[in-house]
Amino acid sequence: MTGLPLLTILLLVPVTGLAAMLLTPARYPGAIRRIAAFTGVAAALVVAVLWKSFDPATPGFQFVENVPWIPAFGISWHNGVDGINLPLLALTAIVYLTGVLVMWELKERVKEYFAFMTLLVIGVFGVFMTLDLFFFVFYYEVAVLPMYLLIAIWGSTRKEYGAMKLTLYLLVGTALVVPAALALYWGAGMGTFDLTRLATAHYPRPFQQLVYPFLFVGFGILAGMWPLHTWSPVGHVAAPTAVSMLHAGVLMKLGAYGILRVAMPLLPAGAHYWATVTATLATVNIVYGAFVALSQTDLKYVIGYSSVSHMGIVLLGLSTLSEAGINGAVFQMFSHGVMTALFFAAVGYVYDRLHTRDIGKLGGLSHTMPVASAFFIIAALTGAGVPGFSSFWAELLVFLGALKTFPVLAIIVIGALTITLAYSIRVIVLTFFGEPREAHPAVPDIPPFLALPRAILVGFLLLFGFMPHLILDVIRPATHLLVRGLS
Amino acid sequence: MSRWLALAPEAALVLTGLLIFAALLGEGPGRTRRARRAAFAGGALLLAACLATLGRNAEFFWATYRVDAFSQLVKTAVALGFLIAAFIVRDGAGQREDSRAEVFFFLLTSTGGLIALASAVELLSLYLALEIASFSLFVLVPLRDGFDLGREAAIKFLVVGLASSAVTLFGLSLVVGFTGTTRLDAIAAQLPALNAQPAAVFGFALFLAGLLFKLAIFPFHFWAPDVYQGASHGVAAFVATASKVGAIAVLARLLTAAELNGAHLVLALAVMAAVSMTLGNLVAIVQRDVKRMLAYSAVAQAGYVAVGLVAFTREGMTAAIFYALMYLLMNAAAFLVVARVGADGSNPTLDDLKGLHRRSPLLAATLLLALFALAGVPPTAGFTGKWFLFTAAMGQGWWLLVLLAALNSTVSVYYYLVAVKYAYLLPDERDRGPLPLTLGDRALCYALSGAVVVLGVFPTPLYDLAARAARMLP
Repeated sequence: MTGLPLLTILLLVPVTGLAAMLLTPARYPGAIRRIAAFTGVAAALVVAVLWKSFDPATPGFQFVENVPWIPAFGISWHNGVDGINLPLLALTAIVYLTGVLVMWELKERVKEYFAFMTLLVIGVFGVFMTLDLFFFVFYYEVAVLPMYLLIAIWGSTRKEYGAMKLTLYLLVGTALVVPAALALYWGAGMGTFDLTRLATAHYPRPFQQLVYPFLFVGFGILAGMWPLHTWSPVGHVAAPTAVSMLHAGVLMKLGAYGILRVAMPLLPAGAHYWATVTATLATVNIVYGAFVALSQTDLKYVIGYSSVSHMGIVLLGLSTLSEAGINGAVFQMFSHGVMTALFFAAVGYVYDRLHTRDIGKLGGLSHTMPVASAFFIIAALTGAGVPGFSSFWAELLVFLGALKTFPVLAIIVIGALTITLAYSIRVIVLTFFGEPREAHPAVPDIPPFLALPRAILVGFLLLFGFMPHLILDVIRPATHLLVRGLS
Repeated sequence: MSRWLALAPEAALVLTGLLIFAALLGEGPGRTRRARRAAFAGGALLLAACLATLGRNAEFFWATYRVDAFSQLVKTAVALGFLIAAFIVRDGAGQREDSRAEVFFFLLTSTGGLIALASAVELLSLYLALEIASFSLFVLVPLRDGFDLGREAAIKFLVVGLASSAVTLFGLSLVVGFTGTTRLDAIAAQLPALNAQPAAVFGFALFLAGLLFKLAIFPFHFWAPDVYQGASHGVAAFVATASKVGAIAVLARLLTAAELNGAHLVLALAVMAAVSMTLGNLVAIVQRDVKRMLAYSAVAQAGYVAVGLVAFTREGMTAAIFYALMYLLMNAAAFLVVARVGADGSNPTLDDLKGLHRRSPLLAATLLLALFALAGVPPTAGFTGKWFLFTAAMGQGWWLLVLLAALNSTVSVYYYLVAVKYAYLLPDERDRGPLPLTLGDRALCYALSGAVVVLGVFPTPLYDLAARAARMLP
């Protein structure tokens, strides 16, 4: 383990990148792109060092930095990594880097685009590393706001509506989280916002039962919880490719992570009390999302609803409050993040070239652009839970956990898997095989440079698909500790 | 003798007044420029004097005028507000031709009133200071050029202002009648005994009305939209910044005096806060005139401040003072953008913001940060300030009020984002050229944006100053 404050460095990488981008005049888009890519590479390297020097055998947090920040309120600059947030930090770095590369051809307002995107990533990194409730909410909102501009300026299909809807939904979520966070502060009576210390406070049972829904719903909105998920498909569809990637790939994980890091450890009795309700909501998410995805004609809507469905699996895993379920949920967060990023990256290429995402107008794409099609098909297969890809293991774990705790719901969910398979195959067959239903200009297959980010994502799906222990060994000790605290 | 050095800001104030007055004596086209320079030089001196006396403690004039950490912090903020407002005035565009130079003088007299207000610990001097601050503005608002709303605004301002003065005076007479003193500390000592006397509590509440009027909190907000819209940019900026800080600070002082008497007042204040937030935010949504929108946003912001005040604790007062300082910065940034977009003195509408990101990326970015700060979005100081306010209120169990405030912040994001949308998203069909900015404009944009972000991430030093000030109360 090194003595460097690696987490602060990880946060400063995008901050420095952002400053460099702002200082570069807008007339040099090439330079700004390169700064963004460089920032992405640097962040990925720091995460790689973190992963390398992370010791799964040591329980608790590692690379801890703890400096008083606003002593009057017990707010501290407290960062740390355990098996739960390390994969998510890695996910963020992967999606950011590949997102920058995917948007390499962007022509319009390049400087502002990469600046806002980097600001968003600063927020995401911050949420995933901080152990202070004040900073948690702080970064959480930093991540939400640039979304509006990113979607409204560079998006497509009803972009202003989608952007505003998304922003307001997510902020209603924070409006529920903030009072709950302050209640946690005063309820503990310890004069600190430090999450690790608040976790040792034993809140009275009625308090837990009252506050938990605020946190669960507040964070759950960002995780795409039914029935407050409607912002998500609309936002995905409106957003430009890399923003969809970040948004579905990383941002929705913030919500689930909030439940996992704040709501559950601090309010275990609340979590138990509401478990059946949250598990039921998660099941509705899974089934409903899959059914709606089955009937969509816009490729991005299909992915959007599939995300709602898959995030339901994460929420179900969390609701089981069991080791297997939470292991699966964390793994699924990572796996779904990579998979959705690949999904949106693949669709992005199709849309950029053919200017349509309507399944009714596409068809037979695998003849004209086999490589680009392969990316989409791999993502779809991962989403369907085909063995060999990482989601298989993640979903398996969640189902194992759920079968023990909520057998009825688990059986419903396993039944819903057939629908997941159905919509995946429907989209694959209709879009990539058969004959084109409308004439399109001949377009070349994806060039190597643009294929690179997508290939990186595929690499991760396969890596953890064949060697799930690489990530599970990291996650397992942390969830073990968490679940012990829950009982 | 060194005791008198604590009055350096007041001396600087008088000197500035003389300087501007001398500049006004001249004639010819350079008159406004000379007055502006005098205002800058004097304002800088005033700010320096306030900063230099930040650590001093003294009492003057039979202990009716107190210099302490609280008063000097407020004076510093007011002086800063004066400087920024004078800067925003620039050449007095939007002001009547024959009164462009006079703006600086009357802004200064209002500043003088606010500075005296910060130090006054006796009800009569407090009242006088309040009136000096208000009357200067009554003069300034109608001097708007070619804009009939200016006159309407002036009448409303004057009528509502005088009515609230009358109410304040009546309240004052009741308080003095019951306590037999005009000294704040003596009144504070007697208030607990008077808890059972509805008339005394009522009198105190009426006295507060004068300050609530300046804060523009519901139901004392009726003048705000018209005055913001009707006054020229610099004057509106002063009303929105320095004047607000003064009002919040003195409210904090009076409410701390009434601390033990809180129960009666606190519910009324909580209701005002709730209605003010909701009303301000909802009405702001439909506004097209940016200044009018900012006025309704100010009504809502007054509600947020009141959320901190109802806590009736040191933390609440500290949070209110801290938020007032942050509010000065973010509102100043917003008004700077408004003034430069409407450089000819006209009020910019949302449509005038179109294409701002091309016409001046710096102004667009400043507006973005200022509006995000007003909406309470991190990493700006608006978020941190609100967090402190809400924490204080939550500590006293006002969870419904905090929930309402948090939801209101979401509502406010809507109209702030609409303004951002115009500035960043919609193209400018009229194809106006780039907006010219002077070096000073640029520097102020950077300074205010930088301050809003830095204080949002690292508020500790300023928060500690505010906490030290709050310990000095009443």
